[in-house]
Amino acid sequence: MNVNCKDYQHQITLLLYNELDERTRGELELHLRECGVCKDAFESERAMHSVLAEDTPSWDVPSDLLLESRKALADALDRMENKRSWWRMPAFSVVFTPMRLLESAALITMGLALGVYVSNQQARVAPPVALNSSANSQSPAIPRNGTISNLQVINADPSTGQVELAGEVSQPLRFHGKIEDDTVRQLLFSALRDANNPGSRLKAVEVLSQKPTDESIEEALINALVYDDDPGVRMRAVEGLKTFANEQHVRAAFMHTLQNDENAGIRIAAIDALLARNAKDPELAQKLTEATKKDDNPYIRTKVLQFVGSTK
Amino acid sequence: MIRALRTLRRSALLALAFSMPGLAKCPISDGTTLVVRAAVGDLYVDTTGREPVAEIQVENNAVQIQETCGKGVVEFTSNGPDSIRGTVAWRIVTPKAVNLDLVTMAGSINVGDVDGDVVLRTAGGSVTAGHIKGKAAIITQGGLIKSGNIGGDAELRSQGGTLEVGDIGGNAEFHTTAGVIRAGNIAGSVTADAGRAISIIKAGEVKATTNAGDISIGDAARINAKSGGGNITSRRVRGPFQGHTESGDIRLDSAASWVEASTRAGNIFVRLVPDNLDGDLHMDLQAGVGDVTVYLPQRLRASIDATVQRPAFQAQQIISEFPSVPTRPPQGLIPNNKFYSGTHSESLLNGGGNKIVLHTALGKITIRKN
Repeated sequence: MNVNCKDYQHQITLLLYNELDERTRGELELHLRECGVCKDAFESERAMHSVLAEDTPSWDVPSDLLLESRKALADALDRMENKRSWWRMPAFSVVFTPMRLLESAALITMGLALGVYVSNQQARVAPPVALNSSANSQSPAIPRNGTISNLQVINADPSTGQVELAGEVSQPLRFHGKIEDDTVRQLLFSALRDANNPGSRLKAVEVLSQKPTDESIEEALINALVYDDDPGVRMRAVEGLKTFANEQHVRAAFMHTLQNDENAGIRIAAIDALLARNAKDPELAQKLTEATKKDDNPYIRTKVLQFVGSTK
Repeated sequence: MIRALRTLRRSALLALAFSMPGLAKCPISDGTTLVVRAAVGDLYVDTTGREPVAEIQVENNAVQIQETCGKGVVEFTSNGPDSIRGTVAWRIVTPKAVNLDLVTMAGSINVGDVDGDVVLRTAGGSVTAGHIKGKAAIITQGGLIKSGNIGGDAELRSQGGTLEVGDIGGNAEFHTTAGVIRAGNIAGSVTADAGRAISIIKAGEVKATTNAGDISIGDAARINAKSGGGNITSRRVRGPFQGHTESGDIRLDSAASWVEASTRAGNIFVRLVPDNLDGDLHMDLQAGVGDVTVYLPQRLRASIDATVQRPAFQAQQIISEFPSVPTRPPQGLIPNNKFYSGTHSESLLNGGGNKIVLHTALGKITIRKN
């Protein structure tokens, strides 16, 4: 295997991630047709790539994330360019070839991008992202505004100077998207489950109430109405659901509220919503009578009385 | 015997009620208090009446009304019928130079402009009122309260609904367990407890607490604000500020006096613009996860203590536009370099003075000149 082959093999990863320009891609494909060693290397890497792709069928990396990754890659290349003379020193030229650095930077950047995206996409715990660093790239994979915690030295080999570190990197998240987007919706549902933050839950309910026609959103609002500790969140959920008070499951949730919510204001909002959307329903009248007969609020009892009267 | 008498009395009242288009016996003069005690029904009070009487009509045969004339008081009361079909609406016409004391056990209340004081209470239902020149107490167990300007003190309470009011000439007290509070200019002090957001355009001293939601106070003489989760913002606070939110930003665009602010997750921004540089201008700003940014007058005498507990990777932690005058010389520490930069800084401005503590567990601190 000559030096050219090494370079071509470094490009295989980029080819599989569709990150090569037309000219380089053409040259590589030509070389793969002619060189058996590189062809084998390509097949081997493609097989691994396929396995990874099978495991991640829904990982559709958004275009802006790719743009950011490419920008990070370009920045890394710029840094390399600035230090080119240093690489060309004979002592370093074997270990720190530009292609190796490029490959490292590309893999690190893409690994980080994929890791951040997948961790946002999926609630399950993602496996730690393996990052490599060469002597010249100053931890390009760790964002400057990221915070490192629980850092541990796993291995340190004095003979080679290799050090393996493990820890957690967190960084601020800002995500734009439409409420129809799965990721946005998952993030909002996640906010609804934040037990320590009623403000975040309230805002999530406010946003989700804009599209209550979606079944999963309706379910989330019903959950908020029935289970949330905060009366403001429950009241906002009533407001979001009231136009659907004629639907069976929403009706059931309002009945639950009437029987169980200790806040008279929320019960009143529930009875108003139910009566406004279910005119002259004798079955509901009977259920309401049963559900509210012990209610200490005269408004609720009177409203039910009036509703029962209207059904006769 | 007593029951028989009561039945007789009710029958007589019923006959009286429906023998007339509307009850209107008692004279109403300026300052008279019109009292209504409705067991059920929505109350509609039209205050454009030109006759010195209060006319009242109820659009439901099941409801019986009694009118009582007293010195400076006219009272209408009704029974609570056992069964009701359809809605019950009370329509009352009165001159606006009256005081109103209205109670319905079940229904909404709608009142026009009133020159006197009002007390409006319902066990459930919305309450809307026009401009009220006197004092106002408006209470519902559930439902919206919406009022125009109130000349005197105001007390608005709802368990569930939103409270909306225009300007208030006196002090104000707002309580809603699950609703929002919105108010205009309030001449006096304000106490506001809400389940959701609180928004006040201008007030004297403000004490605002919400379980969840933003607190926004345009201009106030003094602010004490707490949110279980939401932003706290003020365009201008003319006196001291104390604020805490469990999650959200705190932003003071112009603070004239001392500031104590904390958030578990969110940024803090304070621009100190004091009228008097010799006053108490201490600051204690504590952010859990978030940045702290302060703008200080150049002539402020202050001792600044800034700490970033868990610094971000390779980012500058503490940025100051003021020349750093350390309170104590470095004791053998390596000066800042690419591998090490301090996450704690103590410095003096103009020889020191007001204690300014800036702390974030995770974020950066920025100190700028006004």
